[in-house]
Amino acid sequence: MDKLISKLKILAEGAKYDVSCSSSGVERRNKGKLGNSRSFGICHTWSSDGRCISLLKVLMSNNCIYDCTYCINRVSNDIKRTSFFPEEIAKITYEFYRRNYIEGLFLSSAVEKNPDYTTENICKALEILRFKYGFSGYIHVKGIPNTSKDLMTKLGFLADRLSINIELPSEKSLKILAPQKNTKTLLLPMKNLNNQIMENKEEKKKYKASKNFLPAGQTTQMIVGASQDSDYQLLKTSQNLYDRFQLKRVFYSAYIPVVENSLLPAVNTKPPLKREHRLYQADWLLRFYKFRADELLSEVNRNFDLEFDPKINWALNNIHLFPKEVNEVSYDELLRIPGIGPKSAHRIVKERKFFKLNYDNLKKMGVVLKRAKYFLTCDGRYHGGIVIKPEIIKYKLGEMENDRQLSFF
Amino acid sequence: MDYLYDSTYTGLMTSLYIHYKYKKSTGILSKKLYQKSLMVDYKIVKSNVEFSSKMENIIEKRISKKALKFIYYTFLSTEPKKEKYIIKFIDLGFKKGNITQLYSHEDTFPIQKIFDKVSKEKHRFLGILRFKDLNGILFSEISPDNDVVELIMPHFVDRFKSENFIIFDDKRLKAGIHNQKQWYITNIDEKLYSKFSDVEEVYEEMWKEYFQAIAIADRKNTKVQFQFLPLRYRKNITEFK
Ligand code: SF4
Repeated sequence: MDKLISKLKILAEGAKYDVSCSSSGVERRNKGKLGNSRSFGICHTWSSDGRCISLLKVLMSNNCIYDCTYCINRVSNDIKRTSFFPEEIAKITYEFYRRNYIEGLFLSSAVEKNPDYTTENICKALEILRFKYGFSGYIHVKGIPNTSKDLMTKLGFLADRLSINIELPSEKSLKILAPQKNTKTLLLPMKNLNNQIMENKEEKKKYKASKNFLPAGQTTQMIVGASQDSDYQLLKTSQNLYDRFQLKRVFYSAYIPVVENSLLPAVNTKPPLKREHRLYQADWLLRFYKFRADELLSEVNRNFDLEFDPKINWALNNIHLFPKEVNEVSYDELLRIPGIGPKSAHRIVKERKFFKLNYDNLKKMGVVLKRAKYFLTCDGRYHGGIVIKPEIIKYKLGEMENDRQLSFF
Repeated sequence: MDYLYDSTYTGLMTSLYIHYKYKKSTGILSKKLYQKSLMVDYKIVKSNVEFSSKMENIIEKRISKKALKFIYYTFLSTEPKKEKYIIKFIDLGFKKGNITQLYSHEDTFPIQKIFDKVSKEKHRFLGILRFKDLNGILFSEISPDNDVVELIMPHFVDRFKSENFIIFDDKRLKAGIHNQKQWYITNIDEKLYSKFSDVEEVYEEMWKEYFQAIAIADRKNTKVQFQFLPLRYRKNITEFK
């Protein structure tokens, strides 16, 4: 047992920089012996870095043949190497799940021997879990670049979600930092999988009993701050992935220097957490607020302001559109007001049918008035001061911004 | 006159039925918590299943199914003035119909807030509840602020349908029990509970090690960790013991 524990420790260490941990996106009752899946994510605990833990996140192996500069598992790094047997990982998942420690499994791996060998091993583990243990809970699996298409398909029928990490948003930085990868080997499988997901959806409409293929879709991750790529480049890439491959989510991971290398930030460089936070905020704006990347950044204005969040920045740059009257403007326009989110916008739209909303109503609905008041009127009244001027608003908002906590998981 | 009920849901519904059908009360209150006063007369209401289900039907028909759910969640909360809020909510509902659409109205806001709070705690326990395996029976101890055992049972019954398990609320000394075929809620006394106080080692140890290993030291942020997982919840969580 001690040996298994030390294996688990090593292989969790190797997986922890992958930030994705959500389990949302698929609702499924228990069809086997153990486990179901809920469409809203469930967090089981929070680690000391404030991140939600919902899945058992481990590597099948950290014994990598590749040499991606930014990664602790790269072949040229001197660390302890180990691999799970498929049965071991299935058993641990099963036992953790029964105790409600976790919502499911996130199984990733370094490239051991070759991509197909690695993926076969992952498939074996998932088959044991699904068929021997009757596990019907959530499984997120990592797609290994350069795996053959048939194996990827097999994987897709075993897992709920699959992610192939792009890590770097441009061919140029891939060449420098991950020489064995290129955009084609990363994007092509994403495209194929997306086609299969769509086909499967059609099929399920006709035959309800057909097997699920990645019902929770695909996600990916990009590292922030390892390369020279700008926020604009990152966000554009995300937008493309959402548009073209229907990705469910793109995760951003502030680069933590784990190696001394002239191509990378020095080892004691602080991870760019604030920048990562801004990217998450902007990503929300793309997914839930109907913003486009080009509204937020441009070739000239390539990086996010670290002082103000992207939505406030956008509003300040477009001050001629404000203030908006909350009793009149559409749902989409409400979403453009800083301090109003999808939840409060919904409440406003529903409730104003019954009566005219006043300032107090907005407060109760969860509108963050400290920010919103500069950008709206309520029953004709403006509560933001005497005139609406970006410089003044910036000054007043400035102090509040500093107090806000970073937490976006 | 105040109506006093036996702190069960059926009791509350019975009192509401009498209140609306026969004679308005000056307040509906739980017998357990009632403080007698010289100024107000009181009457003890006996739970009546027929009245109770009639009341539920009336609420469903005249307001909505969702409204009934809101009222039920409010009943499960620890809010001291909950009965008063419920009466105001129903009063408004009888006038206006489907009022669950209203969030910030003065007569719906307290109920909306309580509903959010109880729902949030229910959701939280789906994640932070821990089982230990004691000779094949999964046992869990929780101390939720609100009475959420009943609300979380269906989730676990589906998820662990081939397991026998017990979820024990140590504040209310009640438990949800599942025996692979059916589930029910029952009262549990401390003696029975002490049978389940053993510790389980192997997987707890393994889980704790994992929990340590997965944190990223360079991103340490215990403030956010506390925000998500307040101290009061930690005593029953394996990895914080
Ligand atoms: S292939 Fe994956 S595990 Fe291997 S070095 Fe590159 S990023 Fe690290």
